[in-house]
Amino acid sequence: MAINNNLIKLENVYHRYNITRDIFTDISLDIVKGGFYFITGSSGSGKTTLLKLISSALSPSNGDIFFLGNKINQVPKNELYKIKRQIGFVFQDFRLLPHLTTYENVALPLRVHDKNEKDYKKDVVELLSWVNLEHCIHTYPNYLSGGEQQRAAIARAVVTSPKIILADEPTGNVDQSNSSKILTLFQEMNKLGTTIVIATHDEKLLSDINATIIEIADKKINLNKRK
Amino acid sequence: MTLLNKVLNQSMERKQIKQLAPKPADIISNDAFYNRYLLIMITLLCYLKSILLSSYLILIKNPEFLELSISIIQASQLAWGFLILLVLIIIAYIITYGTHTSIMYNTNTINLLTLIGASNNFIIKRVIFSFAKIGILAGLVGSSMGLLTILVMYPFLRQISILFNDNISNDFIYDTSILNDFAVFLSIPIFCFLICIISSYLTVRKIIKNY
Repeated sequence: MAINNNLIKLENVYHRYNITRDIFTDISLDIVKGGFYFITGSSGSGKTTLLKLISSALSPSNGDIFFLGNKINQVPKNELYKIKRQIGFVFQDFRLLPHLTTYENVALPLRVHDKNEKDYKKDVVELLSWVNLEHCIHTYPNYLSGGEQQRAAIARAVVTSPKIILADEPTGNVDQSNSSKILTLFQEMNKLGTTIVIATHDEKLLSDINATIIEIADKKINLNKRK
Repeated sequence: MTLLNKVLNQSMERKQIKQLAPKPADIISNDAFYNRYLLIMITLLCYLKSILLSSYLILIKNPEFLELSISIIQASQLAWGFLILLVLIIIAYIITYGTHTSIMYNTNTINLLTLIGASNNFIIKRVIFSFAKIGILAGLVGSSMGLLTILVMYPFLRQISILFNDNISNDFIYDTSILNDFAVFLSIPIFCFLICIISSYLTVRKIIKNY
């Protein structure tokens, strides 16, 4: 009996935003556990849409999406949060809440998952030192640099130990030096077994890492493995 | 020059303390400008409600009022009831409008919360909590203001009553208004709290389905 190593599976997926705008026509994709993926393509090709489909933030117009063997389409809308809790998100614009401190922002998913602060306080502080933010635990996001904000956003994404991390242009708003630091963090997480999917058009990132590249062109996807 | 430096240093120190030792914050921010207007408006409505209720309680205990025909008594009771109901409806409407505004103002936060796995109930609870706080605070402040107003007006009310009723006892106003006003004082925050919770719950439950 073959062991199913698929974390996420897209089967004959179609997606359109309105009658005239098809984004994907008949795409199939397997994302395996522990894999490292880059999604590339020109602006407007559907990189973010693909991430949203993977994360169940969007439902496909047609076709099936499976998460750990469960068909997402069949999950009731008010139960989708259980799937989302197994996914970590990193955004280009960081999306840190300005009225919360760095510590509170990083601990936010744990608060949302109804965890007791006593149980996670130490872990969050350790996580902040892992991303070199121990000096700004009580600092508000507006006082942090772009690189620091993105590292805080990465810490927030991994704080719940998700099975997969989806990053939408994580280096889009940071300089080259911070970009390398962020990429190193993703590589470290991948070594620990977390599946990483990064949407980017930063060619430098693609050349630095051995990963599977999902290229979006003409409403279809092509897979390239780099070794 | 030294004084200016001292003031500037103190201001910097205060800023640093604020930055380094913040108080724990709510996930759904409720210190927005519209919340302050909402609090003021509901406080004023609670004040109006407490005055209406107190004056109604004074009126029905008044011997002259009780001597009127049943139809006039019923009509005036209906009018008072309608006015009190109207105030309650206005409060409910303001809270519904405020909930819409709050959700629009916090769209990014709510989107983020849904992405990181917040259930609908979690978001609903956070939104309701902020309005429950407004409701109880507005109710307490409004009814306190109403109670104060009645206490201040007490000597005038007493004089007017004595003027119109020759045989009224001196304790009449005290018995009928002050004690009843304590009941009004307690009931208004509870009513306001319940209206705020129910209106915001029904509104947020309807909107959150689209997220």
